[in-house]
Amino acid sequence: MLEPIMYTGGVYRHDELIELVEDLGGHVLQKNVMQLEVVLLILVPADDITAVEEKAKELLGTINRAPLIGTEIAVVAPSLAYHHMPHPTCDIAEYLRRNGAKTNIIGLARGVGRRAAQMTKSERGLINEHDLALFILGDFLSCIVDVKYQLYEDLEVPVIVTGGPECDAVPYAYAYIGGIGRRAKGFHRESEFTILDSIVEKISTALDQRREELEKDPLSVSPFRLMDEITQQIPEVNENLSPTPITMHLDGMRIKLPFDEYCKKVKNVKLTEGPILSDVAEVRPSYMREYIILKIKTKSVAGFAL
Amino acid sequence: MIDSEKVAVKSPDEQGAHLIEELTYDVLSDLHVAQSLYNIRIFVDPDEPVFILYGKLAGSLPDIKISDVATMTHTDDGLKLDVKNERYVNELLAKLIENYGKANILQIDRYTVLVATDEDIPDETIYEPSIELRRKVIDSIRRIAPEGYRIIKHEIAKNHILFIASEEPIKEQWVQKGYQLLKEAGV
Repeated sequence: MLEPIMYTGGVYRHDELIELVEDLGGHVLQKNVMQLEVVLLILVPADDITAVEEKAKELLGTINRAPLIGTEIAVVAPSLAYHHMPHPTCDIAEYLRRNGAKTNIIGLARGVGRRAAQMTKSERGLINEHDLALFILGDFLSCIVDVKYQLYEDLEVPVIVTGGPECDAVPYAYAYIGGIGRRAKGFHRESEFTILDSIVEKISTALDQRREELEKDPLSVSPFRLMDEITQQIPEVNENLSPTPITMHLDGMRIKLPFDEYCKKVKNVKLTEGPILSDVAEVRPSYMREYIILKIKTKSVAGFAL
Repeated sequence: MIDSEKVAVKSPDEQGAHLIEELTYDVLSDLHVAQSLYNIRIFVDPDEPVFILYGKLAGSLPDIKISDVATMTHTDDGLKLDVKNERYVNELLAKLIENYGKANILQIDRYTVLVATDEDIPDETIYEPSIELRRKVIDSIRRIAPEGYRIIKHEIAKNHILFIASEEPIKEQWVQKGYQLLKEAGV
């Protein structure tokens, strides 16, 4: 069991922590250096977490549990107009990032209103590439309950909806969180942070459920191990300037390399046990730019597990 | 800040009405029009769908003329304008360029502008605060109205604004409802 944690500390000697994590069999998913500060998103075996905590203390850094590490979440707003931006959409996305998630804000082309609200095929495809979709809806209960579910009823990923009015549940959504709606101000009060925390909590439970489902028919190879193999065998991936050249999903990853050029290379990545990557994962073009999406086959599909 | 009696929202959806009221306060203070638009009455029904807003407009500052911003003196190099109020230099230059062309204007430093003419320039209005205020008020109302409501009918008089928006073509009964709000507000 890997524990997701976020390390914040100085740049000086932070490589010692990275080495420790790698020695313990953990993974460093993201490293952000901001002048003299460094933020690391890491996964450490739960039994060895005290060793990492001690090291962090020695380096005068801090360690926080960030439950959403290793997931990519789509924060979907009906549009990118000032009715939804920067509050609440960006605020929520930022809060999820602070809890370790990689978030993408998606503004729908025709998500506004009642009569015209719809989602295009490419938008649906893009959202389905994520681990979870969080919809930021408005102030009126009848819109949220009776109409807007049309936007997400066909999605394959779990959907969590936020809106203004209080309500127990909305159709087709895993959970609904009220008290947000359309806002023209940021989240400042403690009660508002409680709402943000409840979003993180709901997302964590939805993702845990997805993890449990995956455990019933486990993946043929751990996505983190596959990530390490890809970074070693295709060094070009590290030349990408994106903060996460490989963005992890629960059952795969997004590799930020052009599909046409690197598809073959990725498919031919060798695993030490013998099989190549295309035996254990499905490689396809992403709806996002020209990136590559990799979905790991389950044990029943691949016929074996490494 | 504006006081709480300034906004009254009616809607069949009570929770929605309360949220729209809060949003209205925030948008108005964000765009600095809280003192300019007051006695606001809103009717919103997402099932119709319609959004009607009535608000009273406060008076704005008088128009700014060239003489308010600069003093003119004739020199050998042409007409010299000494800028008194730098806040409106952009508008002043835009007006001069419009009238005399870019080639005939020379701004030698922050506070001095030369115009290649021997005659006095007419004392024209260069900035209308009332227009700026209306622009801000309309901007704030469009931020308050639901985004999908793209069909808009509005009426701006000297001291009030009536704004009706919907997803469907505007119905006569909504316009009547708007006038009813006007009546309630005592216009």
